[in-house]
Amino acid sequence: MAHKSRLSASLTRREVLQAAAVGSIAALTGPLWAVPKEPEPPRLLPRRSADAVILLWMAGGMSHVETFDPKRYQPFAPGLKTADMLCTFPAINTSVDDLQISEGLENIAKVMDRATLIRSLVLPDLGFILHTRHQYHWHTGYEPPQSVAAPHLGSWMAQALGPRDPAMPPFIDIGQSYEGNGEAEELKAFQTAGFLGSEFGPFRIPDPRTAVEAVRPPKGMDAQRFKNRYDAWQRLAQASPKSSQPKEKQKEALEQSLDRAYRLMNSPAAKAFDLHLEPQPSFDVYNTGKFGLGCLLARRAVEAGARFVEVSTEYIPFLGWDTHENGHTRLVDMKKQIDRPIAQLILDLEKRGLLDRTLVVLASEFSRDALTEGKPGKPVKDQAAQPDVITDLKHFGMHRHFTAASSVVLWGGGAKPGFVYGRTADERPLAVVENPMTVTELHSTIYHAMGIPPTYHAVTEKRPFYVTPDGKGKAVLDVLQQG
Amino acid sequence: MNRWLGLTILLLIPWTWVAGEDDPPPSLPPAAQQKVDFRKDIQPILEKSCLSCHSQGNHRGGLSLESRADLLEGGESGAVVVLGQSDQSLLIQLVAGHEPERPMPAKGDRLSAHQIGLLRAWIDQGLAWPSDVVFGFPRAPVRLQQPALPEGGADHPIDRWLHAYLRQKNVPPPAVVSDAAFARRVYLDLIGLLPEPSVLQRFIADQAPDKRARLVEALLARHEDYADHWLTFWNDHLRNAYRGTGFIDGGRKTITNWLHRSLAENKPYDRLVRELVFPTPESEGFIKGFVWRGVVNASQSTPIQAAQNVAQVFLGTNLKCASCHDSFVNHWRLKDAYALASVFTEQPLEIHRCDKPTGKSAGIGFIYPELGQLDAKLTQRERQRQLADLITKAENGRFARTMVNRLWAQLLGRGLVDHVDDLDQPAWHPELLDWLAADFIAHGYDLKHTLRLICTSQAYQWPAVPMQDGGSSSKTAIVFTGPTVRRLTAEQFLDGLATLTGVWPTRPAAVLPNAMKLLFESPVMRDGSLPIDVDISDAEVLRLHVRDGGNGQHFDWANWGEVRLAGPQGTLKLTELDWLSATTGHGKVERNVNVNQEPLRIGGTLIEWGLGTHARSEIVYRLPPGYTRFRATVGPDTGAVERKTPVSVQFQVFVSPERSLYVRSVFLHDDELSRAMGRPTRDQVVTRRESLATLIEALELTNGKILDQQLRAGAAKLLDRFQGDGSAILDHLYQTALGRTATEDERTIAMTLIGTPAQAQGVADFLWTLLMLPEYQLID
Repeated sequence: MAHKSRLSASLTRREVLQAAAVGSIAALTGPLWAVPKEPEPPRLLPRRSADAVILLWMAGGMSHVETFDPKRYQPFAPGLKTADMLCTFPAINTSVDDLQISEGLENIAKVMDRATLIRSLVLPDLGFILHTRHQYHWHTGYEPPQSVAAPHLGSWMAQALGPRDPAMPPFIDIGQSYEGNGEAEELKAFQTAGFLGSEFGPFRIPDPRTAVEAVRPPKGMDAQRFKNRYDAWQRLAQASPKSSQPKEKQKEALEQSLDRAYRLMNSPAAKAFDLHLEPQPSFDVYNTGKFGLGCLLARRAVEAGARFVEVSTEYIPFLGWDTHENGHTRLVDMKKQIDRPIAQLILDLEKRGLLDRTLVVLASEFSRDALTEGKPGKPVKDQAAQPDVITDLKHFGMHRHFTAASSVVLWGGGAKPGFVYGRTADERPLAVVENPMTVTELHSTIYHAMGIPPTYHAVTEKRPFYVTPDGKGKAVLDVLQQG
Repeated sequence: MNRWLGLTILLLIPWTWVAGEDDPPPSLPPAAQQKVDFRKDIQPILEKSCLSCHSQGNHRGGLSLESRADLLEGGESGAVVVLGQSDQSLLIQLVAGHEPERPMPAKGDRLSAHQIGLLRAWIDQGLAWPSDVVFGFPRAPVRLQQPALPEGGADHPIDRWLHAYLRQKNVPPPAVVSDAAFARRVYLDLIGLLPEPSVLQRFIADQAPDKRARLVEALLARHEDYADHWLTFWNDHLRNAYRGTGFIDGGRKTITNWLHRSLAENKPYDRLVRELVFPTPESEGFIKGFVWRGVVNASQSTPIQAAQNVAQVFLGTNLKCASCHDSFVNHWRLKDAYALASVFTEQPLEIHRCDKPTGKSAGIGFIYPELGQLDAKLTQRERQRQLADLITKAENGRFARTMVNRLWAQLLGRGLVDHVDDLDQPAWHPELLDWLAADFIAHGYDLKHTLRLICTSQAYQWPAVPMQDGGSSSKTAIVFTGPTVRRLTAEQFLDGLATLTGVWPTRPAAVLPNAMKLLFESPVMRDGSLPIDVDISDAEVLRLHVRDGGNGQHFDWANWGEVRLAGPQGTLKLTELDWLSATTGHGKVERNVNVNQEPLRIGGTLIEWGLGTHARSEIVYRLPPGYTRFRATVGPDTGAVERKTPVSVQFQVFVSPERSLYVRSVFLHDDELSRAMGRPTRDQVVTRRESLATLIEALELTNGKILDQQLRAGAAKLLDRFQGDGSAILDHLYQTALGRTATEDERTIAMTLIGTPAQAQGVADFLWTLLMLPEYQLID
């Protein structure tokens, strides 16, 4: 990796050399100024272990100890001290010897033998902990705000690799609605292609239950009418006295994009969005609600040629994984939402021979603990009211935002099967004690699996903007089958 | 690739390999005897052996060799040159290898004795360095050249420049476009709207030779329309929004009211910028920047944001890179960005390099010291005033040049300098650029003056040319022969749709001052009744609002009892006047019954007549003349109160001007459709929008709910307006959208779609095809 970053440094110097050379001509012929050259076009790695990514986003802060990194179980009893509450669910066995995860994830437990479990992600310090701030960082690799709009991971994938099937939008973002969401603006700030341009932006499906509406004619318009409208448009465009004018980029882009949209809606790929075409038994397995059907949609979209699909449990302040109270009872429900569909997604991908080449990533913006808000020794402003002694069930659970450890699961796509990376302490502060991994390293690893080096970049405002900050990310090859 | 790999390997090899350990310390080669010529003798040495490490963002050892002054300033080891004494100069000692641990050049071939002799002679002879040779990044002069208009030729000064330019390129000047094409351009460019068909007809029929100039004049005189249109441009440039990141906890402030008013009154640009840099509470949002909660990177603190944005928007230069480290894309150093940012703080900022504190301060300074300096002893506020003075002073050619170039780019598709935020890049017509800038200053920074000047030139009226790749460098130079084809912005597209159908949004997201005047507001009511009696003299539009009292909207049935106007005309029951629009949170707005279609009761009393609605609700009326009072008795419906569900409603009465009934899309929040069409969320300054259509956008246009809803509403309104006459609808839409009548062919295709008799679906579908035509979406 050291060589890679040196290489990028030398490219910068080369630009300078070239610019200087132009400068010399300038000197001979008067002040004709140098134009700095664009850096070498970014290159991809010679091979990749995954062709597609599905990101399962546990929005709101999923506690590691309550899910994939269980600690000593303490059942609820009035008088329980918060300090003694490490974990509110018992641990269960998984398909991997000696690996236990949390009760409520029984189906996922059965597919852990296909997974690498990373127990040592350490989230950055971004000031006092805020969901959308960490989500922005997690999805772009950059801390907000930025002076140029930073692209979403999925947009980089779309830009670097394109769709796997030309009829499919390469980047599909499922499950996050903006309507009535108090932090919609902050969500929009990272659910974007940023400076890469909207061509690489997310194809948004806020509600997978109505996904098909995104790829079929407007409500109330039948196929024949839709076709007639499109045909009339083509004929009118042709009949316009201006149609004989020479080819023009704007005009071509407009005509081609409308043509592509029309073809997408009539393509077999579009059927991926119609969840009712899924056999009923399979549909039922996934149907635990919006998130579960999002997993089904993700599977269908990847089958149909999508490159990057994100499925979110949806970030809504104080809902979902964002448990400021009633943590235990609410997690029972959250686990029900995710357990069956995620396990089924893995099995289905495997059955279709797609798991080997599809990297499924489960992650969250940070974890939760009952005591520590922030990092041990670096506490930040408390945002949840947690008494020292618990008398009410609503205080039973992990209610504070914790950044010193978080669990990430990688399935397929070249990740090592049945492998655990990193470790956290069994007692408070429950922080990472072995193989800490940063978000930048995790990103680099995901990019690496997709054949994208950490130095991959695009140029904006004449400067390179890298997929990892300054192009300095390092993939953690230990979690991949082949570096 | 191999070449660069080789270079990389060289870089990785330790210095000692080059130095060679058994070389004896060399004595100095003698200075050359001849009179040295910088260009012939020195420059090739610098270029081959020195500049790759000592110029353009690379200043190894702190040494820059970009100019004579830089060379004399020396580097981290102090002076490298002692004038007249080459044997005492560190530079010579290093190139001669006297310090084996740092031989120079550090890479590539060692200098020959002859070359060292030349360098020695150069130093001994006084270090001559022609002033026009600079090895740094390009830098445009701050002051304007004062180019004299070419003699003869066209009357219009822009055309005089461009005719001479085209003569030189051996290209004949094109003929100007048709009246219809001109009108479409100038309407969309100056007020953002499509030409009204009747005006267009009169304009085409008009035989007066000055009719185009008069049309430009008439459009510029539509102050409110002009302000509505240009608000989009300025919102993008000043990243002004009505909601967005930062607003959530007061970390950001809108400047909409000030901005719109400034545009409507055509505030001179220098004053406009003064008021942004040295702001009032109304205009401080731009400099204030915005605060994401939490700790932000040092390069994004609000004073640095202010420095970056002031530099980019008003001075056409990029300080973003230099906010983290010395820039690799231009000559700015980290300290330059910090010095400018420190104008906006009480104490000079501590410099952070790549977010790491350095313990140093850059003090306070202006990035163009040739225009004057800032007095560090002043208070922050006084310093901001001083900065505003420096930026806007007439000697600052960059200020005017940057702005006229933006206007040129906006109207002609491409700037005189292609990179509108980097005015150090060469212009394809530097004289014209500086002439326009000087003219802008001479006319008191009157934005409308420059717009008028551009729009009345023939150059603006030449046929559009295809959008092309390519820049201003000699290899890819494009000869200007007319504006490039442009695409409607999201705002122009949506306003155009509203113009075509007559269905305008009536609820702005950004409420302008005086646009909505609150006459009455009840407390949150859970039962009981309240009388209202307010003055509505001179009001044009009446808006009756019911808000949810804050506990959700269950059974928030709200009644406007005995709702009426009174005045010299007598009394008019509003139940007998047609509303313009009526929305309700549940069901539909009812006359003389409650929203559940039961008798109206307020405070337990049966009310004979009035309106029954449900929070949240807005009922809008155009006020007929002759009435001065609005009267009503309001309260939650007694039927709802009796259900023992927590009813809570709040009544408000607003009046607004007629204009408020036609809310242009610039005043709405962004949505899936407008974002897909390129409206930015304004987290960053945006000075050019993408205009090439994309698949994501096409999908939104093809089946997005927002457009679909507008097409349905538009079709219904058109059928109503033209009494179901499909052919008349077709004529109206072709005339308005494209400024022409449909050909026979087009008519046949369109009428098949519209249907005979005209169908609502058919009209909606035809409307869609029209909106998607390149002829509609492109400005050519």
